[in-house]
Amino acid sequence: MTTEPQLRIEGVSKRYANGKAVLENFSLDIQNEEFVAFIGPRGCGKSTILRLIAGLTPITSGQIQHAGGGDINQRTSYIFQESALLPWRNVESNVGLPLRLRGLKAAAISERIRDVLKLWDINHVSNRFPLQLTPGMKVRTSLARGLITQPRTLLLDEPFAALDAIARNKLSADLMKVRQKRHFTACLVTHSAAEAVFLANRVVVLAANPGRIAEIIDVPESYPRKLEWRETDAFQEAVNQVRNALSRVQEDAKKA
Amino acid sequence: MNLKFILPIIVAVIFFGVWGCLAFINTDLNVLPGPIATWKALWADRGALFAALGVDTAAMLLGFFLAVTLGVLTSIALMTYQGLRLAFAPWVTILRMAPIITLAPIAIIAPVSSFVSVLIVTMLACFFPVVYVATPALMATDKPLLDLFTTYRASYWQEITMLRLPHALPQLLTAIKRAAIYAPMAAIVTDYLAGLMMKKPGLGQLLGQYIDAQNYAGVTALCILAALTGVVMAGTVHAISYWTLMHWHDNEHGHA
Repeated sequence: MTTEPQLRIEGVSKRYANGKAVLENFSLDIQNEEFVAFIGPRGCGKSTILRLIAGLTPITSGQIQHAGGGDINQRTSYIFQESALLPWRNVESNVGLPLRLRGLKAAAISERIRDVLKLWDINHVSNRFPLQLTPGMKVRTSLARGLITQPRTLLLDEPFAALDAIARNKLSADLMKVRQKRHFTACLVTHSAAEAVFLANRVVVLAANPGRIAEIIDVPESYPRKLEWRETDAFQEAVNQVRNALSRVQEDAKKA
Repeated sequence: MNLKFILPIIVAVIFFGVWGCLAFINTDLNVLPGPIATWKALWADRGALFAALGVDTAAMLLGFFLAVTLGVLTSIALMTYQGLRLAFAPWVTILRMAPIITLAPIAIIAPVSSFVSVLIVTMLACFFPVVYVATPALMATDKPLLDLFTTYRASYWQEITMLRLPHALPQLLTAIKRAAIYAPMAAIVTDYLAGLMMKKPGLGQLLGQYIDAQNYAGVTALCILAALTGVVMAGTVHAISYWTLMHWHDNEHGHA
């Protein structure tokens, strides 16, 4: 890991037009190729952090710096909770969309599309439309689209929320494998402590009203992590650490 | 053959049976020609009827296509500029509900040619239903999809052509189908009023001639021909709608 962070969030605050604070003085450095998971109670601003990083929501105060500067959107890809696939385009066309929006011709991007379809094991459904896909396939298509631009940072906003436990675990494991091949920094928003621990180097536990960092829990297990690791005591211990931190956050919220 | 085909045929047989019986009972009045008399009139006058239909069809189709094109462009403008929307939305609502017959006198005060009169009235009759539906449909694009396009820095026209228009297509095609039904009615009423200026009679003027001659079988045949024209136009739009939306719109699969 380099000393210069891939993302530097410095004293960022976000308030709605009615003055309600969503995030207050939020600071965090995210290193290159680090995987950070944000977890916390409803209303703690988890998704807002991702939207601020992606430039989808304006910052009220503070700043977010991306290593190398330049256009944020050339460097980040956002994976939405609802997959956000265009229903009138098939898988191949959905995956190639970001490059088409950059003005590249179909012939020029076909190889890159094939690569990411293969990477996510969805090349056999390339001609299917979203209506014909399982929820898992939709998420894979969304992830393939996110990676086709070769982003430095992948912003994952509860991408597995609509999946059952088995599909979630399988996709988490596949995300691990993909990250071994394509090296990117990742920020994940999730409600699942187990998912956060399995995927992330660091789990940032947030408190609500306004959103702020309550605790940061390191997960020292090295990559690649396999599904079997989830059966170990070390994994359970890390998950319990995160759950205890979440309980403390909720207790503090009740006292306040 | 399944019920999907048999039941409509039974309904048609009952309809023609009832029609024939009523016409038989009212023979002396001569105002309700039966199906056979109508068919005979249609066959005997087929030359004049189809020539009249041809006279109106060119102006009607051109008016219809202009209405759809200008309607969509106007909707894009109304969607984009809030001031325009606030100024024109009430008028679009009112004019959409205005009966075509109130627009037809325009044909008389615009004595350019009957072709132009039919074109203008058809266009006005079809324009407002398209704008009334297309504007809110263009504004109702899913938020995650708009966010997706924002993250990829899509241009205004990319957002319109690659997202908002295809997203609005189901509602837009429904409005166009309705406009396709209005078009023959508007054309015939206008031709009825302005037809005297034409060298060759359109359906409206022929209708006047039939009424003057108390040729009620001819009137019925003409009405059926006009209705069939509307059905063919709406059917064509429906077919386009089916083939365009079959992969992504539940309703087009019939299991919504």
